[in-house]
Amino acid sequence: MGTEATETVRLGPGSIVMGIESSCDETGVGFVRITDAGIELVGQALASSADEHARFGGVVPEIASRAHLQALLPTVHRAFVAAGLSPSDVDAIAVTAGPGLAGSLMVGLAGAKAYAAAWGVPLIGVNHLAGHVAADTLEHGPLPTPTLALLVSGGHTQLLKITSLAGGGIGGDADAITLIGTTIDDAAGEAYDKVARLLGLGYPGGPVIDKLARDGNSTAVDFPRGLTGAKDADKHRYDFSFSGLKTSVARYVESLRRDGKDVPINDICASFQEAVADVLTAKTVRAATDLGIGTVVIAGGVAANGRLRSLAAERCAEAGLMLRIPRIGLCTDNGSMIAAVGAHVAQAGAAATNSHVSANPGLPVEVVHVL
Amino acid sequence: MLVLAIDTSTPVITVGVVNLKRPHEIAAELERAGHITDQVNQTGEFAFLPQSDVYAVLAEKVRTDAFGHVEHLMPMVTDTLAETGHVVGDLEAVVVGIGPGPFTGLRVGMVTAAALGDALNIPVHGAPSHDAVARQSCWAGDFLVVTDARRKEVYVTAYAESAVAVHGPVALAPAAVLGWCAENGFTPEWIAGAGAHLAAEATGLDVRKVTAPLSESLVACATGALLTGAIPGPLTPLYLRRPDATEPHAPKPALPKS
Ligand SMILES: [Zn+2]
Repeated sequence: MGTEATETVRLGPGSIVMGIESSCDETGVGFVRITDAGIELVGQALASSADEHARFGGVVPEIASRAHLQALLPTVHRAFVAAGLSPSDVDAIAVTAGPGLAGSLMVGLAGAKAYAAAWGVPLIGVNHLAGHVAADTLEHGPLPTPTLALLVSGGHTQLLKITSLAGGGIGGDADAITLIGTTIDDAAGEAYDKVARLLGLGYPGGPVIDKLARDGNSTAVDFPRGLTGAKDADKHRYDFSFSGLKTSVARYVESLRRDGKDVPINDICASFQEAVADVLTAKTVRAATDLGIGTVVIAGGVAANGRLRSLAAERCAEAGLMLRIPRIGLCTDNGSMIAAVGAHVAQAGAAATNSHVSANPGLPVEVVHVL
Repeated sequence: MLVLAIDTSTPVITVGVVNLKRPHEIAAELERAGHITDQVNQTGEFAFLPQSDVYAVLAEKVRTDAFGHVEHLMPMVTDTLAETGHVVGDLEAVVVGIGPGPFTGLRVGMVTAAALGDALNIPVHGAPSHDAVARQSCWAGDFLVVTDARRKEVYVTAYAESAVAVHGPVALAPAAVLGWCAENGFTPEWIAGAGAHLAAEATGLDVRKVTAPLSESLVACATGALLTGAIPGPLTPLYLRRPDATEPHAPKPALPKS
């Protein structure tokens, strides 16, 4: 078998795609099935090194990479059991080619190449960010064209126009995914982690702040909403900024401490969270309205946030927009979302990914499927 | 036994396909050649045989690319197999170098070996990469195997003349290598390995080239396990260093100093 030959992959109903995800601190393996109605989740397994990173206040790339090496095979085995499948059922292997941590991506990618070669099935290298959006199709079916996606996680805060999740493959759409807006500094999830750290709440910040915020007053402190002023209505109309918000929280906490006052943690969490959810949902609704897009998907780890979900529901209803958010288990990184992109790509028909492919830590969001 | 050998512990990516002859295959060959096989039958060992009778390197490919392991390794595996007329499914075992070496490349080799073994349901044995280098040598005297550990350090293992590891591996500055040897009462006569040049000046030792194919030596390191069908242990890289990570300091003050 020549390694230069370009293989075509086109899969129909009944086909099984395995997905391998290793871009950050979660090792995920999932299986999806292509059906006449769409793409369904068959089973998945996840291993996380999050606990090992906690005391460092963020993901340590080398710790994550070591954990992926240890976890990959056991996670593959658990996923097969969860899905009730065996290796002979697999028709293609999708793997995260980027973006993400280089060393972590390489573990999943090298493993996926080996499984694909050993089982004689095509490899489909896909974009992690498209994966977050594709996760929703596992729960709510195919996306209408176009759809506006708000992708929020520890590493990303982006507004994307989704025309297709199949990428620019054979007969595909070259404008499958277009970047509408992005953060100009910190990602939303990163802001949660930094604020949690300065409040001494540990890592990761999202779940704990969400929990404490429920017992706080969200109007107690008027924290700034980044890039929402009149001067940003043009150039940064759909962009985000969370660095100023984080600094503002830090100043507020420090001034209370300096003056010997109590720090109302619940109120700060609620007010901070309100500022994040406010700006995320306001800009999403604005973009959907401006672009005439009727459906909004919110995806990524931060999509698990309670306030973001409720405020988005409120505002999308007001604006007459259809809102879709996958269940929490599909919001965070997992293998099924990668399998789902692979299935969309394979269903449409595309060239299989060459076994020479490298990991691309900075893979642009527009590239759904790498060759 | 068709064995795939992989090492990615240095910038040199090595892939070899080696036929490891089983005892009965060697006995049959000797018989065919008219040799008396009493010795074989009595001892069950082949220590008296030249290595070339036990291992046949059917094909070996090497490629130097310090940052290209993930890109090149799997295509090299298929190409090396193709050269021997075999496909991945013909493999009966995998032997992989477990370092020490720069982590990212090392992991690519190890996860590739592990996934191939898992997918094909064949054993995967790990071999310390320096041991394989040591077995390539045909020189007399105690010696060191040295490879690049980056950050102005080298990975070092001390070997007795029989290529048996006696000390190490450790990560050291080249200038500390002789001191480490002295602490262990070890007197090396020469050095080998992909990083030998990095320690040559500091140690004043002769750098010697080892010439046997690395894939043959990797398989030689695991021969006992391969022939006895031993269950492979967990594949753990010889990292020798903790991950770089520092616990966070107190956040920087956000208020201007007053
Ligand atoms: Zn993610």
